[in-house]
This record gives sequence, structure tokens and C-alpha cells, in this order.
Amino acid sequence: MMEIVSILIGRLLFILIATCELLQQLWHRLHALARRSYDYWQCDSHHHHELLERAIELQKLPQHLVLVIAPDDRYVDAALLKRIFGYAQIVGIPYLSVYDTRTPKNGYVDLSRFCQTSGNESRCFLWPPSQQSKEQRQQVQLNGCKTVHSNGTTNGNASNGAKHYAQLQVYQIGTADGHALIADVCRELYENRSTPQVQELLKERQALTDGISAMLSKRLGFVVPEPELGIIFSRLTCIYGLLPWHVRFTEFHTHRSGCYFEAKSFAKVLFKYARCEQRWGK
Amino acid sequence: MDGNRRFARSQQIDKIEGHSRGFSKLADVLRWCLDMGIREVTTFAFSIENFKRSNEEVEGLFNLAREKFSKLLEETNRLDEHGIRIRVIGNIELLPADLQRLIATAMLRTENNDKLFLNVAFAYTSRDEITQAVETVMKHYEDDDMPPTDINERLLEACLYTRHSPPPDLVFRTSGETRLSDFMMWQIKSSVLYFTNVLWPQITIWNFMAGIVAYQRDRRHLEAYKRENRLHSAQLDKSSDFYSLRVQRFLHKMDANRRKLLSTTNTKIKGGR
Repeated sequence: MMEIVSILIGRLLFILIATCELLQQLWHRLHALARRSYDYWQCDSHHHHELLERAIELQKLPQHLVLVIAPDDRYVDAALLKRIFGYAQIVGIPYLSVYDTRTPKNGYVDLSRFCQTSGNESRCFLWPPSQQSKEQRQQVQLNGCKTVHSNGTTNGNASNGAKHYAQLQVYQIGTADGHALIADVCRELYENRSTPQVQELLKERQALTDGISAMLSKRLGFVVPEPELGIIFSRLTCIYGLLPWHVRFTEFHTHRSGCYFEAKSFAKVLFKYARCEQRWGK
Repeated sequence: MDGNRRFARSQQIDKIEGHSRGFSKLADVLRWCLDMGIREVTTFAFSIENFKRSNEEVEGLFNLAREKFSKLLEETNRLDEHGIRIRVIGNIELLPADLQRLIATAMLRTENNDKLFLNVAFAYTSRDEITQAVETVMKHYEDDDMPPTDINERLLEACLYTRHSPPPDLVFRTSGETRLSDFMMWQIKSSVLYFTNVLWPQITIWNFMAGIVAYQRDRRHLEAYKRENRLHSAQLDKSSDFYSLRVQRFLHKMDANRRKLLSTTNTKIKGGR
């Protein structure tokens, strides 16, 4: 009898939680619609820039930000990514990676459609594309404005407040860049196991670790620090197989799917990141 | 199990006393897991990065580990009664010899138990674990002249310390930190991550249950992703002959070598006394 009552209570609890979740989701979508409409009509980019410029003054900013998009997310699109790239550019984050786990049918965003390819690597991009960047610089020259470098420092004086920002380096990471890539590196090492270089790596574990790190960086085309901050766009917190070798010390923040993501949200994430203490095991 | 030292600071007690309270809390949490029907628990007790701490603290932690493992060995009857198997995952060769012996003894003594599993990550980092897996393949695979096409993520996964454990469903981290600190980075690709602000020694059953409820709420959103992963894994198994005799023989030899190393650790140090 007690067992049946417990099961019933458990089921009721879940129905209650599911109802709360549904109502919460509805509220978030209505709020997102309202905010988007407000932003569209108010064009309040000045306020957003102010918020983000306060973030520039933080003592601790990530050098490399990674965005993780869940397989069932329906709200992250090219427009949102461009906004986030813009925010990162203003704040002075030089490197950004996008890990989109969706398929093309489910909303996967191909960065090559709005970013400029960088060098020979198909996964490395620059944003904004140089045409847009040139127009920005021309506008700056006409108006005599400040130049903001990628590390957030400025020079010159602004006459009308318009700013020039350095291009952001963006990487598109796929599911094949995680576990499968580590296995590929292992296979390559195995195939070259009789060479003196690999034999040297096998003498000490730390040497092998460093060797694997170097090979992974080379294959990924990553000449950047490991991601320090990650924003997960999902209904739950999960890393979905993101770069198991590289994100061991990444601070993760979950932005619930369906909630509106604006400059304030981005600034909040940065302020939270600035407050966290990394002890590195000590 | 994060937050022992911060708890110690807030209570104005010694750091080691904070760690000791943390261990007592672990015993409580394991009891809650047992009551809830959770069959396998992995706990991150000591990272390789923690060797950077002061000698005093590291030695204090090792003394605590010695005390607790010795106590466990006195209670093996109870462990056998509940069918609890102890596994220590990590690079135990980095630990003092006497602690290695205690760990080896605990693992060997409970190796036949198969109802409940307690995995203790000691002298562990995920990078070291993955490197160890690569090293195992590099050093032992060529003995039987295996083709490189056999080497894929499935094989590497089978060479990890957690070879005989399913991937975790829920990762529960206390003290408000929202990073993974190099813990099971390979295994947690489809785990629900739950971060709570409470410090580990202060965790209550309500905090614990909040984590369980969060997992039960969130797991259905991961079903499709997990199903895809299982399909991908099955395809990999098929394409790389993972279940072929040569690969299974290699894995069996690896298990035998690991067991032999434990036995050697157990008897060598005993014999040396």
C-alpha cells in the first residue's frame, strides 16, 4: 500500500514539475518575443554597448570562448551567433569557437555563410568578413574615432563614439574533433611507433601527453589557448562530447534554450566568470 | 567532493579536519545512493594536480586515505555481504608504496563482488587516463601485430581505467564551481551535469535529492542523443571488428596485466617488510 502511495506521489511530483517547466518555457518565449520587439523598435544598441564596455574593465576576461549548441536546440540561429560575435568583439575576446551538435535539418549554422575563411583551414574563420571590416575602418577614418584592439585597449579620441574593433578569430568545431580525433592521433602514433621521435615520447608519460597535445592542436588548427569559458545553449547542462582533451578547466554556463540572449545576458556571464577562482589543483 | 577547505576556513578548523568531515559526508552520501538504488558511484578524491599543494596537506590527505582504506579492509565481511566492489582509478604508481599496497589489497579483496561499485579516483586526471590508454595501445598492441585500422575511439575507451563501468548518468559537483577539473572528460559526453553552491561537507539529503530530481527531469532530453551515440558505437564496433578474437584477446591480456600489477604491488611490498 505504501509503495503504491509513494509511486503515486512520485508521479504527481513529476507532473507538477513538467507543468512548471512548460509554463516556464512559455514565459521565456513570450519574454523573448517582447525583448526582441523592444530591441527592434528601440534600437537600443547604445545601452548594450555601455553594458559591454563595463565588462571590458573586468580584471579577468576569457581569451577563448566556446559556444555549445545542443542537438535539440531550436533557437540559436545565424542572427544570434552574429550578435554574440559582436558582443565578443566589443569586449575584446580574441578567439571564439562554435560547437554546433545539430544536423543541417535541425538548424545547424554553417559559419562559412557569414564569416570570412582564414588561411587554408576550412574550420577557421574571421568575423566580420574583411569587406565589412573595411567599411567599419573607413567610417572610423571619416569620423576620426577610437581604435579598440583585440585586447580591449584603446587609442585616440572618439568624436562621435563610433568604434573600430579587431576581427574575431572563430573556429567551427564538429563532433569528429573530439573522441575520434584523439583516436586518429593514437593511430598515427601507432603507425610511426618505430620512429625515434615516437620512441622518445613513450619513455615518459608526460612527454607522451605533451606529444598528444601538440598533435591535436596541429590537426585542429588551434593555435589558441584552451577555452576558458563555455556557454551551453540547451535545456540542461551537458557538454555533448565537446573536445574532451581541451575543456578540462573550462567554466561552463548554461543558457536555457528558448530564453532571449542579449548583451545583458552576455555581460552577466562575463561578470560571473570574473568572480570565479581557478585554483589549478592547489 | 569540492569545498572541504572552504568549509574548514568557515568553521575555523584545520584543513585536514575539513577533509575528514568531507570523508564522513561521503559515507552518508553513499548510504543515500544505496537507499535510492544507485548501483555505481565514482568519487574524485585526489587529482594529480593536487600534488601541487603543500607537503603538509598532501601528506595529511595520504594519512587520511591510509586510515580509511585500513578501516575498509577491516570491514571486508560487510563489503562482501552487500556485494560492494572497490575500484581505485588513477595513476597509483605516483602514490607512496604503503598506500599502493592498501589500495591493491582493497581492490583484490573485493574483486569478486558485483552488486554495488565504488570507484575512487585517486591520483587521477582525465588527460593522464587518456594518455595511459594511448600508451597501452602503443606498447602492447604490436605484440600481436594488430592492424592500425583496429584503433578507434571504441578501442581507446576500452583501454581507460573505467573500462568495466558504464558512462556516468549524472555528475554532481558541489561548492559552486562550474568546471569539470579534468574529471572523466572522455566518459561524460552524455552525462547530466549538476552544479550546486553548497560545500561538500555541508551537503544534506535535500541537496542530494535536488540533484537526482534534476537528473530525472533532464534525462529525457538526452534520450535521442544517447540513442545516436549507441548507434554510432555499434557501427564503429562493426567497422573495426571490435568483437574479433584478436581485439578481445588484446583487451583480455590488458586486464590480466593490470591484475598482475595489482598482485605484484600487494605481494612485493608485503615481502619487502
